[in-house]
Amino acid sequence: MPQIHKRTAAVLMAMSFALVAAGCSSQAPSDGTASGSCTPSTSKVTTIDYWSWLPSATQVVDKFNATHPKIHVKLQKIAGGAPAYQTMFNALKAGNQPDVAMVEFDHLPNFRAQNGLTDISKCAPVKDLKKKVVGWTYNQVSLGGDALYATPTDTGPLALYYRTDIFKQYGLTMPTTWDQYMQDAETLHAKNPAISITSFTPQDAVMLQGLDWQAGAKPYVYNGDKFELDMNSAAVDKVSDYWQTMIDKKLVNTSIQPLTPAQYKAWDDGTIASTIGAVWLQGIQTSSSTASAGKWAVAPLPAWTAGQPAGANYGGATTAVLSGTKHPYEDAVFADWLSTDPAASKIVFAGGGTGASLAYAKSGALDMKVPYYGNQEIFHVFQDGADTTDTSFQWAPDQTNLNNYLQDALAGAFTGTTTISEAYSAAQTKAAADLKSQSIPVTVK
Amino acid sequence: MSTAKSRAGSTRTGRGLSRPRPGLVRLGFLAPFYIPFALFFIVPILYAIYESTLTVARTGGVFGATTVQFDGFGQYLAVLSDPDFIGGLLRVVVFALIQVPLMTAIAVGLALLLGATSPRVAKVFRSIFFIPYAVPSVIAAIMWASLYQPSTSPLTDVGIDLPLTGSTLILPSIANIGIWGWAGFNMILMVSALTSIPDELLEAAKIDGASELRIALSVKLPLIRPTIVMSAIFSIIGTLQLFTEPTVLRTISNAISSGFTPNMLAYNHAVGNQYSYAAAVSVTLAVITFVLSFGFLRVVRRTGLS
Repeated sequence: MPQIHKRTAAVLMAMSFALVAAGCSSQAPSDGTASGSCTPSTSKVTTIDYWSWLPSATQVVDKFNATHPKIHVKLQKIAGGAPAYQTMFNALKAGNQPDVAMVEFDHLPNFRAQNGLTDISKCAPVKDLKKKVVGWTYNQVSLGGDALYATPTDTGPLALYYRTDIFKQYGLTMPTTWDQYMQDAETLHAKNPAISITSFTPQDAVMLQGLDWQAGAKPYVYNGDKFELDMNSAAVDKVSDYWQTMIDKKLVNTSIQPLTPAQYKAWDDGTIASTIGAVWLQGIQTSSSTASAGKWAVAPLPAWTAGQPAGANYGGATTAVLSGTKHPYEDAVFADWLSTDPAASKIVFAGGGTGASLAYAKSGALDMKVPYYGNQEIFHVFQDGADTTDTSFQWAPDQTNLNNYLQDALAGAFTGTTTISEAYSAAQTKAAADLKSQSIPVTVK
Repeated sequence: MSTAKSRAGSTRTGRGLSRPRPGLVRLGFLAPFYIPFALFFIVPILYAIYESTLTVARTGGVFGATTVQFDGFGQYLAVLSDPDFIGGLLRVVVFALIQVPLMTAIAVGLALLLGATSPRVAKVFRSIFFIPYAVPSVIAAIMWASLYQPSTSPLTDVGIDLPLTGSTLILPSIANIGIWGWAGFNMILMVSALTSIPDELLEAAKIDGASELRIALSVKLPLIRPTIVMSAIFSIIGTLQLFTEPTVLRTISNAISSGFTPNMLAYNHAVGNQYSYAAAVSVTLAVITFVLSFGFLRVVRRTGLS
């Protein structure tokens, strides 16, 4: 018996080493993104791979394939959120990534830093893209430069979801400024300490960065080929101090995390009077908190200065062309169609939502009255927010890690051991060290 | 043994019929296990070790071209000087020091209690205690998360207002989920060991006038010590690699960071594209787990307990 085991072991080890060696040697060396020519393919039918977690992906891909006989899009549905990027980065590393993929705005710089995107700015189908989409979206798919890596598909403008009945019951004024919002919070807390104006926890770290965006902050700046972190600027600190005050004065509920059953219950039973949320939250709220249907409405996000409304964004996705694609022209055709063609928008936003396409915004589709929100045409409120969103905000090249560090650091602000501003500082230090370990040149302002 | 068999075989079949050598036949039967084992266990481990020796160099600024370079122990130095890793490691070691004895004691206690009841009652309770083990760990964590979150917890309905997801109680809360899920499994191990104790020994002890408790402590426990040690080692390994419960609870707790345990640290860094660093964290954790479990075995053997 021992002899068999020795031989088996030897065979196994030899096999294993062979497999590892084969796997390692086939790793494709990655050079900078190729921005070469972009010419239509000469084959009768060109097939391109598309990975997406859009709920309507199957219908919209079928529509494209039906109307574009020379291009065939092969759809692969993947789970959305963090698992999607794990899958995509693994595929990039293995060299079998798709041609086109759904990538959210805040992850595009990360893909770019991993040399995972193709520049399609020279492709004819997207020559006029800038005129067809909301301003800030073009800025983020071009990463502020002359190249173009993706087409913006849908956006996530922030607004204030609020309970009309609670606001009426406690005599709260409709807040047009953040000061008024805090006053409303104090009034509510004085009259009924059991309920709060809103919830706020470390898991709101990404939404909070959206609010920094609204305040005009630019925490992540690209200067040529250098990257700068500026997470303690005056604008960021203004937002941080505001929310720190809300926590210290116990004006917000700090034990209800976003997108959890506890939040859906709180929406229903009135423990939370309002929520700062993106347009995609309405899909979740209408299906999870059915008991309070008809009692909600949507108002524009409060502004820092009266009379100067500013929008902010949280989420939203692009259709990105990944590196190594052999058909950039066909990819550009598909990406442009998905993001700007009215036929595509009709399918993608059938259940409501806001797109990056200006044509869609003007099409009358936003006139949809939603019963859950008292038959309000809520999507106009969101689109107005998108139109006033600052157009020069960029995300960081390792946004995934940065979001984690910020969420970790924010925990202390809720127990009184640090402040939100100090948490930003701690996250900034960690993110800088992280970027250095990935050989990304970074300076901290 | 093998030579005798082959000789017998060749005599029986005679000439003309060629048989494959017995060694290869055995390899063939074992292949369905060994091939996936190599592919999904050995190869990834070797690849992780290889990956942990690499680093990424970049020319041309933020979005410049990247090359993968050999870095030797660079990633390991970074891991050992990372306060998140050290903090997470200390956390799981302290967690193990408390949870492993507790889990083992509960499993042994339940097994002994089962042995003291009638076989029918024992059978019913054995199934009841084993059911939590059948629940997938992610589902269990999600279930317990809704029991812990104040607004959905039945405890708040009866007026008990404990911050179960706050920084002081979060580790006991996680330990509770682990014990709930695994006590039944470990108890079954003990029950099997207890049933293999020869009845004569128990009868002899009874004749000598020992009470049930005395029999349990002085006869049964020493005889199932090897099983207890094995169960403890499984618990140590599982606890040091804690991942599922804190990851699920992170969505409902303000007290869990992305590097709460070393396994979470590795996972989150891999998600953030730092494959080499994550590989180094994993290998370091594996080495430490190896050392601690073998150290425990050594100590137990030396004191003659096993």
